[in-house]
Amino acid sequence: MLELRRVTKSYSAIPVVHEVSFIAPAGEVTGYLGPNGSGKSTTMKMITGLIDPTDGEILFGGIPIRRDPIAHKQRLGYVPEEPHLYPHLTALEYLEMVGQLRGLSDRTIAEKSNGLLQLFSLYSDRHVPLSSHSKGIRQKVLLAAALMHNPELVLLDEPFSGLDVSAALILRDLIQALAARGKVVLFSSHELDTVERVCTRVVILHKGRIVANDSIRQLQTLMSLSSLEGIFSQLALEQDTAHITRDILQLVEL
Amino acid sequence: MIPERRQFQILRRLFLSRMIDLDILAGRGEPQKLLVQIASMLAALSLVLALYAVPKYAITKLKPHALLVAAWGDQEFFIATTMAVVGLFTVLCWDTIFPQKRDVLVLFPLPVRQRVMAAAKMAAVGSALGVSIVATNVFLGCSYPLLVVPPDAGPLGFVRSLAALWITMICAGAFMFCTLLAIQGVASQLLSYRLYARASSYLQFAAFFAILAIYFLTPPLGTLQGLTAPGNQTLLQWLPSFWFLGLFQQLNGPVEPIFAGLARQALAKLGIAAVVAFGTYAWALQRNARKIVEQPDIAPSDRSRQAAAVFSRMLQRLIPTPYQRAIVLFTARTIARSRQHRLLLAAYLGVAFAISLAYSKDLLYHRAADAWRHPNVPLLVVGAVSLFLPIAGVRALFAMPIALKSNWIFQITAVQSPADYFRAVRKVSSSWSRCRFGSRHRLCTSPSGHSVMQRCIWRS
Repeated sequence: MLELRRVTKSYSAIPVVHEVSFIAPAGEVTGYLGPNGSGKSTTMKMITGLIDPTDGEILFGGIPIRRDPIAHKQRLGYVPEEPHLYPHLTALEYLEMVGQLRGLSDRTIAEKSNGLLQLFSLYSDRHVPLSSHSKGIRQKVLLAAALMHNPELVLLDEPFSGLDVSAALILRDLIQALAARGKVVLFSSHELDTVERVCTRVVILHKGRIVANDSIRQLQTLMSLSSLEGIFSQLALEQDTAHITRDILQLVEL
Repeated sequence: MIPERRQFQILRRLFLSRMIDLDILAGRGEPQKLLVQIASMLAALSLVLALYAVPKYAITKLKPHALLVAAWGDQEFFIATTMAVVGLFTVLCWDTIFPQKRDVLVLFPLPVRQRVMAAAKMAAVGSALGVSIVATNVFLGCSYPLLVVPPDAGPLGFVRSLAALWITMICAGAFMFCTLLAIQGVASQLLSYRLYARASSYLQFAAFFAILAIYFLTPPLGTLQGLTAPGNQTLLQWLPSFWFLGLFQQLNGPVEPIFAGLARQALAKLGIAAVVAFGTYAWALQRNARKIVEQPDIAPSDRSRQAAAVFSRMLQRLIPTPYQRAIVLFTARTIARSRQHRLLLAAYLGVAFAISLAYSKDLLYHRAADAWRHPNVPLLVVGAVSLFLPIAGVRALFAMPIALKSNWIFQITAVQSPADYFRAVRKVSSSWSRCRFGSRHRLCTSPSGHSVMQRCIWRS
């Protein structure tokens, strides 16, 4: 179980994430939603240990992640929002490096990296430098790297970004299958349809604060809305989208 | 538990392959190939130095003691060359010595301790510097010690000379590296991370030109008179290549008492530089690693809205055509914010600077037959080189694309004829050249400038 207790992150005394508390249970996919700049990626980075919270505590399996960051990272698989990779390495070299840094045996690394590359349809391009690949292919490499050590906690920050239809369908099923195997899956995305299909519960963030934290079904019942899109619009969107569309058209036709 | 030694080895290899910022040199360059090419170039330099030195000493008619004294000037030159090579190499690796944003984003979520990362980084830097020092001295370092063995050194004299030369070169290189690292480390401690990210590239250029200036303008003091003259003692305190000449002499067998003091200075200053460098490096690593994730590398300066509005109005007046204005602004912003472009221009300016200094050195130290006030060949060369190379640099700068994948925007917004765009680019490049190198341009293109040049050519 992943637990955030009143986690705050401030830059120059301005909080970008403000007293965020939620629980992502094992065996479920928790959706983490919010408009751009609401603090989703900052929260993700705090959970990975990339940045420290200004205040509050993050626990995984009941243990604060600060207590033993290395042990925490060993149990963590992370797909970042931006495909940060070493562009001079090939997909195979990158996976090998990540596997070695994670302490996997050479045999396991060879088996897993080749297998994952084949399953993600990357095997034929395994010797091509990552700099030559499209965003979608880099995203697949990141997914493979995040999963190759069989993590207990899977953090997915916009994992569908750039993926083709077949890879997106595989990933959708994979996320649910990972949760079914008892892993904690925290999943951030702007694709509300996918979130609605994949996640059992959602945490909605707006301007760094949590505005909803419940199961999708419960939120639908409470708010008398049939879709997650409707719930999200009501909770996290301040603007009248129809009005803005009209204004944009007016400017375009100026 | 993950074996840290294995992580260290993997990371050292990774960092070594990214030692020279490939983003600066070439988008898709092969790191290993590039390192081998650089090592080969340095080895070629060593061969040239050996071919210069060995015959000169082998066929000399000087007595052994006199030969050892006569060799000081060359020894100082070899040490200065090693220091300059290490310095330039460090400048080239400037941004990769400290952890980069990519390192933090890729490696921090992995179970790797920060100390392993830091040690691997240092080991990679050490290996690269070791290779550069060895390559620069590979031919010279194996042949030259044979020729400068003190007469009373005994049968192991050659071994001692060999060891003295290599220890000196390693210490001199280490001093240069530690000094530059200390500058970076101190700056990173004194400035906020954002300010440091901005100031770092200026420090890099300043270091680049300072190394060239010191290398080419170091006065020729490698003689008995030069080293012992009371008037030169203060100057010698500021010239590191002479400290290490002192160290070499001490290790090779003391000749003059002056070298004992210089050798002590070399070791003391190497120690200070190393302590400051590694202390601030460790501190900066601890302090800045997380800030790298949180803040952008180089952001546009925080101009006030009023200033931006005034600038915009001025530009509208100066360049009324919108697409020309777009090209001017894009070019200016690219040069201001792209390290790749700035470094390329700095390389051209650096070569021009180096040639200019090399030619004007004799004039500066009153060793040339010509005087400053008379037209002379060195000044003509300096003028021509400092005009030609920067303009060539600007041309190369304008020809180098940035973010090639993003240029689709120019393709789909190309509503004018290509000739119009080329005209606009030419306009920008020529006005930029004029703006930057205007005075020299005027000197060489004005009637009086022509007359000076003609007189120089006639004289030569």
